[in-house]
Amino acid sequence: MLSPKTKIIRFHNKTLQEKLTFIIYFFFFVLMALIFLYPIYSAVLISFSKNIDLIEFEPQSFWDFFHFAGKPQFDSWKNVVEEFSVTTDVGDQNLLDMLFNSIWFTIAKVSLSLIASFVLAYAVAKFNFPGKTLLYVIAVFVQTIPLFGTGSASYKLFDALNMVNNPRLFWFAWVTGFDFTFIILHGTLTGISNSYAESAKIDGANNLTIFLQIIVPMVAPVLLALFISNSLTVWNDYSTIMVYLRDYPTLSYGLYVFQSGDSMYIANSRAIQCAATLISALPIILIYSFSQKFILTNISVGGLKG
Amino acid sequence: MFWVYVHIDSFALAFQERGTGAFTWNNFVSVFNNIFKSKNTENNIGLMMLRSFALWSISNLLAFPIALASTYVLFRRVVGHYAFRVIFSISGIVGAVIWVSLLKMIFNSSGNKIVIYILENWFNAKLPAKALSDGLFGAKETAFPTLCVITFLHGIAGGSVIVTGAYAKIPPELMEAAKLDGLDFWGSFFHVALPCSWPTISTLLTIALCSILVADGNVYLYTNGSGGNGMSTMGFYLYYLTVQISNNPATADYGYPAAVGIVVSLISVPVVLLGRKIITKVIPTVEV
Repeated sequence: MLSPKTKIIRFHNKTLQEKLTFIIYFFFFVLMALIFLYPIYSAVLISFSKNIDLIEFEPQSFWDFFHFAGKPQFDSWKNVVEEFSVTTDVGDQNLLDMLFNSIWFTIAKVSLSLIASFVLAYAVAKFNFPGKTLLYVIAVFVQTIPLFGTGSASYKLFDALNMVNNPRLFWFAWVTGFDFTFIILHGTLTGISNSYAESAKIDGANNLTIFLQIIVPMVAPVLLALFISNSLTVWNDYSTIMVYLRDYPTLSYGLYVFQSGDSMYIANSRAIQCAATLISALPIILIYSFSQKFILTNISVGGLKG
Repeated sequence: MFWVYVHIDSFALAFQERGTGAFTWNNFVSVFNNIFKSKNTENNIGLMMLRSFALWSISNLLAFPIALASTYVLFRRVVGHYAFRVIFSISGIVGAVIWVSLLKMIFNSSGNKIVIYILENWFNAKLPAKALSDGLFGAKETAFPTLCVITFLHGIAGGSVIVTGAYAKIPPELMEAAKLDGLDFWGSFFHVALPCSWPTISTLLTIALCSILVADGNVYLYTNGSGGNGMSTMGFYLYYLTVQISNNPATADYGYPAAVGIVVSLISVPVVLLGRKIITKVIPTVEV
C-alpha cells in the first residue's frame, strides 16, 4: 500500500486461508464502515429537515431512518452562518467569526509549538552541551509519567500573567518544546548523518546556514506531515478554548456550547447544529483524505517509520 | 520553566488553606473523605478511577489487539482498503466534539434513536423507561454500557493509523522470506509484522499507559459538562474541576483539585511503571 515495493497478489492467486480471511474481514469492514458512516449520513439528513418534522418523526420501519423526516429544505444551510452563534462576554459570535478563530488558533498554535520543538530537538540531537541528556529525559518523562491535577496551578499562573482571554499573550503557552513532536523530530534528526553538516562546515558554512540550508530542507517533509497532523488535533481542541480563551470561540468550542444548550433549544435547532457540524468536519476529512499517505510515510514513532 | 513552575505550584496549592494560604492537610482530608466516606457514587474518586480503568482496558487491551489484526489485513490490501482506512479514521480525525455531536444525534432523545429501535426490534431488549424517553445516555442503567461499546468500536477503528505506517516500513523481502519459509498469512502477522512493528506499538502503549486511571471517554461532552448517570470518569472530573475554576477564578478552590491530582498521580505512577516494565522487558524488540 504505502511501500512501492509491496507486491500486489491477485485474489485468485491467494491461498485458501488468505481468501477466507479477506472475505470475512471484508464483510467485517463493510459493517464497521456502515456503523461509522451512519452518524454522518444521519447528520446530512437532519441538516436538510425541518425541525418540526424532526420533532414529530416516528419511524414505522428500519428504512425510515434512511429517509428525510418530511420534505427536504435548505433553510438551515442558508441560515447557518447567522443562526449558529455563541454568546461571549464581548458579544455574539457567528459561524464566520468562529471559523476565523479556528484558523488563526490552529496556525498560531501549531506553528509556534512546531518551531519550538524543532529548534530544541535539533540542539539536543546535534550538539553536545551540559544538560543535553537531562533535556531529553525531561521530554520523555513529561510524555510517559502521569502527573495530574495541574489545571488549577496552570490557570492561576496564566491568570496572574494576564494571559486568560488574551491571545496576544497566551501564545507563550504554546512555545513548549517538550511534546510528542519533540520526540518524533529528535528521532528523525538523530537519523541524519553528521557528514552533511561537517562537509558544509569545511566549505565555510556557519551553524545558521547549516540549519537553514541543509537541515531544514532535509526535515521539511516530516515538518509538513507534523504540521498537518497537529493541525487536525488543534482544530478540534475545545478544552483549551473553554478554559483560557472563551471570548475567542472556535468552531469546536462553538459546537460544544451550541449543543449543550437547553433541551427545547436543541430540539428546535438540530438542523442548524448538524449543518454546522458538517461544515466543521468537512475541511478536516478532506485534508486527511489527501494527506493520509504523506503523513504516514513521514512521521516515525518508536524506531520504525510509521 | 512553565512546566516546572506549574508542577511545584500545584504541589504547594494542595497544602494551602483556601483564602488564607496557610499550611493545611484539609484538601487531602477532603480527598480521602471523598474516597472512603462519601455516599456520592457518581463523583467518588475511587469509582471514577475504576470507570477510567474500564474504558482504558476496553480500548487498549480489548480493541487495540483487534485493531492490530484488522490493520494488518488492510495493509495486505483487502478490497477497498484505502476507503476503509479513511472511513475508520473519521471518528479520530474529526475530533471529539464533532464525533460526540454526531453520536448524540443517534443515541439521545434529541436524535432519531436508531440504536434504541435496533435494540428493541432486533434484539428484543427491555430498556428502562428513562432510556426510551431521554436516550441511552439519559438512563443510569444504559449510559456507561453505551459508552463502553462506543469506546470499543472507536478503539478498533481509530488506533491503527500509526501502526499502518509501521507495517508499511517492514522490508518486503522479509515478508517474502517468511512466505518461502512456509509461514502462512497469520504466521507472517505474528512472527514478522508484529515483532518488526513492536517499537512503534510499544511506544504507543507506553504513552497510552499514562491515562490508565484517568481515561475520560469524552464524558464531559456526552453529559454537557455535568457528568452523571454513572458515567463520570477521573479524566472528566479533573477537567471539570479546572473548568469550575475558570468559571469563577476569584472565589474558586485551587487546593482541592491540586490535592486530587497528587493522590491520583501517586496511585497512577506505580501502575504505569509496572506496565512499562512489562512492555519493555517481557516482550523483546526485534531489530530490522
